[in-house]
Amino acid sequence: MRIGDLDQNAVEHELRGTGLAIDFGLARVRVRGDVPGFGAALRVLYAHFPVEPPAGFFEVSASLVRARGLRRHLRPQVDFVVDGERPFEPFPADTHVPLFEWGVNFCLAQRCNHHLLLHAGAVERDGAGILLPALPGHGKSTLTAALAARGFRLLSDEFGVLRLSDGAMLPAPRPIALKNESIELIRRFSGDAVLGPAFPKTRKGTVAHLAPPAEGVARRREPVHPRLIVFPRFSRGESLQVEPMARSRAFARLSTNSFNYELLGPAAFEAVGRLVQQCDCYSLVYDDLESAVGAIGKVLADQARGERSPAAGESAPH
Amino acid sequence: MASDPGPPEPRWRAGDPAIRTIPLDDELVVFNPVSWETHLLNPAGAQLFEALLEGTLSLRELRVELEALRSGQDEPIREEQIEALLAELEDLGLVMRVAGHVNDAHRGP
Amino acid sequence: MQLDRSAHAPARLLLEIWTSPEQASGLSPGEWDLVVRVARSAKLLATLRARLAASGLLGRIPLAVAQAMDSEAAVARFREQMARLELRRVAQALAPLDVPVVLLKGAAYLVEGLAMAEGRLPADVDILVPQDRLDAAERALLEAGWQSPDLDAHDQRYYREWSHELPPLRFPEHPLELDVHHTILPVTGRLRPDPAALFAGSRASRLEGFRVLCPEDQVLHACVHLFQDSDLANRLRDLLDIDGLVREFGRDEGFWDRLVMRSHQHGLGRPLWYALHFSSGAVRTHVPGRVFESLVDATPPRLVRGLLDRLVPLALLPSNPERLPPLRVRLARVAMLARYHWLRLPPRLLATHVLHKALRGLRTKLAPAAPEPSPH
Repeated sequence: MRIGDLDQNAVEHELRGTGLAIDFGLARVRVRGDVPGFGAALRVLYAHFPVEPPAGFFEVSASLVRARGLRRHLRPQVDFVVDGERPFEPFPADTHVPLFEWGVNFCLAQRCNHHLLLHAGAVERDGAGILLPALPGHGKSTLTAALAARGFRLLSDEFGVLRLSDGAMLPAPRPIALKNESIELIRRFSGDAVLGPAFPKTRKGTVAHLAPPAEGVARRREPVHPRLIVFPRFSRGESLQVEPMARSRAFARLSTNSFNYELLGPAAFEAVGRLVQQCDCYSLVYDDLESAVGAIGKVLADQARGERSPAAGESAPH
Repeated sequence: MASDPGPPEPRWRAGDPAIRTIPLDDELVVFNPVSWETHLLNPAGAQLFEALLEGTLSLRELRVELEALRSGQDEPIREEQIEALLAELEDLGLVMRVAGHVNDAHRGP
Repeated sequence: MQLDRSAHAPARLLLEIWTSPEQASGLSPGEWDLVVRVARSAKLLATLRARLAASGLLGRIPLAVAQAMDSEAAVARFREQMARLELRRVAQALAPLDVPVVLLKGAAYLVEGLAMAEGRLPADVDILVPQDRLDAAERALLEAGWQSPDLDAHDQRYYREWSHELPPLRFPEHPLELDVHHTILPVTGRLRPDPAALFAGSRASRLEGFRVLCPEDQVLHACVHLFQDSDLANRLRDLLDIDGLVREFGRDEGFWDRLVMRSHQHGLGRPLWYALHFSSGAVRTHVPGRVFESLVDATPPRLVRGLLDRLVPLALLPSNPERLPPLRVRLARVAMLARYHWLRLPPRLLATHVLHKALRGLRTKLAPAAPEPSPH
């Protein structure tokens, strides 16, 4: 039985009661919240996840709680509450999903420091893990969503999670937050794309979420070894460029594209060193999703054949 | 009887036995366990630092060592260049002066 | 300790595991969920891990629980590293002054390698310098790059005249703050431990350039920090620190007798009594019977004791994360906050008040005729 198989009343009932349990591989989350529209949206975005009893150990137990007082009726607000704390200012009650997703990201960044956490999209194809490190706002979520729509298994659009013991990438497939033009872009890019409701009034403009594809959800417990690191940059009007990147430069960029590189100290140093030694590293400039996806596919295919674009030893001027 | 040898030359070596290094092509990333900072050394700095990880060398010995490694490339290295590099590395706490001078306390960050 | 069951059931479970770590292997995942959450909110998750690790039990708990603890341990290790870095810089900045610098609290536990220090999450670094060198120390630190917070005149006065420490200093981009103390309790408070005795009893630490208080004074400082200088809210960690300290130092022959003697010397018998009383209630700290006997003069009156027996646990323990803290917890915390402020009142203000009332009473009894001119 999956969350998508439940009817809306059942989902809302769980949210009002003991909570809805979601296991996305890296972590189990239990969520509660009696907020109009929230249950319906979760049912769409987490449709492929199995229904689980809200019992046992959870990495994150969170509630969306309607703020009290007069505001409740004028402009209702909702708080993200986790373990008795409210880490953020309240959101308008009709932006529940963005608040929930943001809140879970916040908790994961605090509670998963037994892994190296990179600001990176993460996908897999043919047994090879691909990391797409980029700072927030640089289009990695859109590119990751496009890759997921073109046969690459989704691990995450936000967190490149590396297990310290062996450098494996750990999946955490969750709804992908798309903003403004990206929403239409992805809708047109893939007929199969399942998009949740649009939230027009967030600080970042309009936000809608792409539901993680069934395959990514089904394989959420399958780690994969990273083989390719592509630093993507969207640049309107520029033609496609794929350039190999020197390992030392990749190291430097990874360490700045990380949630906890500084925190982990020597362990992060070793982990990033091993990562760049095991992977071929590239920079990618694109202005069109289809060609970006194609370019990544080509680099991967070349790598599998044992061919590399100019060796990483030749420092690229980036 | 030997003549007065004059003040002993300063010699240098890597600052802390727990410093970690990872070679990446011809460059070197270095982790300082005291400051928990990571540094990237270009090929010249990498060669210099690796030499100091192996042993304690004076400025002259370093020049000889580096020239041997670079054999045939470009201009010869001047001692002032090496000195400048050593000063930077010392500031970062990666190398230290020994013998001939009082051991400087780490002027680490 | 008397406990409110539903609000503090998870905290009670945490304390049971703390006291008897071998019970950890018997907890269900649902119980672990609650224990991990209250431990995390009480800043005890990484120390709990250290305690389980010391008993070889990390392999006997669910993997996800161990990993949650590993994450917190990584944060603790980072903070420790940053504390050590901060101390190196402080030593360099203050070395030219030739002034004794004593490490306090977490910084001392860390440097001295105490077992109870593992997994603590230091939020700042505390040092103690003699009051007559405080200005010089502040100048040296500011010159070396630390920055004082932007406080208004009132707050500056609060720190410099009333409190026992400078406004917290911060080295730019450094995660931990530096608190420079000149004694261990606010100067306006009713208890006045003697700073000269603190320095006289101090000894060289394992880190060059720093000293630490003698073990007895470290314990007493922890006691006053919790029971004189705080509102107790969610301060279980501070109580467990005291437990950890006396377990470690108590192995030394003569420690307990020295501790009692020192408390008499400093006039800190009451906070010591509270600390030992509540610590043994919470985690069965082994306090030799004769210690309480020697503290008989410091024992609070029965009424006060009964009241605090109810209020302290309510205020101190982390509340059940599944629900809002019940009214009695919120009230207990308000009461303890009021107590905190009351303890900071200068005794002369209170004495004046009491004297005033006493004199008024006296005049009423003695003078049926015209009232004598009063000194007020």
